[in-house]
Amino acid sequence: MDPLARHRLILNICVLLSVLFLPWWATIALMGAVLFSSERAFEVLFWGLLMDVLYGTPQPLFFNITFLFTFGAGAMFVLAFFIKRRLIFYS
Amino acid sequence: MRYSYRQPPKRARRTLHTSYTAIFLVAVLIVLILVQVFVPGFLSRIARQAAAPVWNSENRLTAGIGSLFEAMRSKQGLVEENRALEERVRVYDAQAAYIEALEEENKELKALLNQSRFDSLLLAPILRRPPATPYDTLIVDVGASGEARVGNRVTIGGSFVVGKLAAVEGSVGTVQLFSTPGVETDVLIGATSTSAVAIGQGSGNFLIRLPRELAVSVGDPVFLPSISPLILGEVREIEADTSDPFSTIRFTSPLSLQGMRFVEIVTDDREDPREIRENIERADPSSENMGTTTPNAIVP
Repeated sequence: MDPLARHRLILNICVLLSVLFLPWWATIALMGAVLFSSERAFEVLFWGLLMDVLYGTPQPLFFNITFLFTFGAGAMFVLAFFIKRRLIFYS
Repeated sequence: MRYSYRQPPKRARRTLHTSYTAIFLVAVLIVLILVQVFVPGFLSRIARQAAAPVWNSENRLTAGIGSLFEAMRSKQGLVEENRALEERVRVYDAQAAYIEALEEENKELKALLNQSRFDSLLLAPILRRPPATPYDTLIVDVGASGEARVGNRVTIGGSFVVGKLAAVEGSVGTVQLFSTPGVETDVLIGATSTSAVAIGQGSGNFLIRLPRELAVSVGDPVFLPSISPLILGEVREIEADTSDPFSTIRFTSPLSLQGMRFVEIVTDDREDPREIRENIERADPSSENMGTTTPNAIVP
């Protein structure tokens, strides 16, 4: 197995475990790590959706939407895309 | 020597080339979101049913590790702790006898009004709690009996109310705490039962805006309007500014959810205000003339 792919797989397993057992901010940090460890880490969107599916309830503070983490993961993905485009590590 | 980690301008202008895989994954994600929106609970049920055994085993493992550490503590420490605990038990015994007498009296008074305090409570182990749950919710195991319903109140110790069941998927329930940011709850403050609206601030914290003239002081209990004294919190801080006709009252839940392993779900929510009113009138027809009397009036 390609070392990069193995690294990515391990990170994603860590994200899954953090979704189940760790505080939400640990999941966010690991999702950030996944985003910057590979070129296009689309899986973070699914981790965001899993957070919402498992724990989501309508939030009066955010217009009763239940997809805060999915949207947050989407925003992180777009932000990471533009940052990575400007860094030589990802050329 | 200075290094730059930025890509040369030509590369920076590289555009996003969409692959079929990316399009497929985004399409799947959109489909999943649509399923979650239009068939609420479908995905949640599957995910929570799958996660529940894992959470349950984590609880058992944590309890096992806790007992192991307990066993490893020094004997001397245990003897001292035992003495201190025995002393506390004596105090609690005396208090319990007093509470028991009060409860008995309370039960008799409610029986007179053809009311009973929750006949049926469902003990539910907490599977996940904040901060592991990002939305200030509790994930609880409601069992397979199907007694728990959306909207059931959730209490601790039968007297402290923490939230309501927001969803039930199989044996897993989601409790939305009253302290969820932005959630508004009607409450009564102190012995005078001052009505107010508490706004959740997250992590068991609440905020109330009230006219400064109203007599509220630090330490006053905050109740939910119901026939039983369900305590929501205790006033911790009152901010009053001479230039502001309103004061800001901050209160918190007296119990921390961190140390709790179980909550109780009130499955016989018989405290519908209309029903209570009817029961009072049935018990005492003369109360029809009482005009504005509400069950709140008998909340201590």
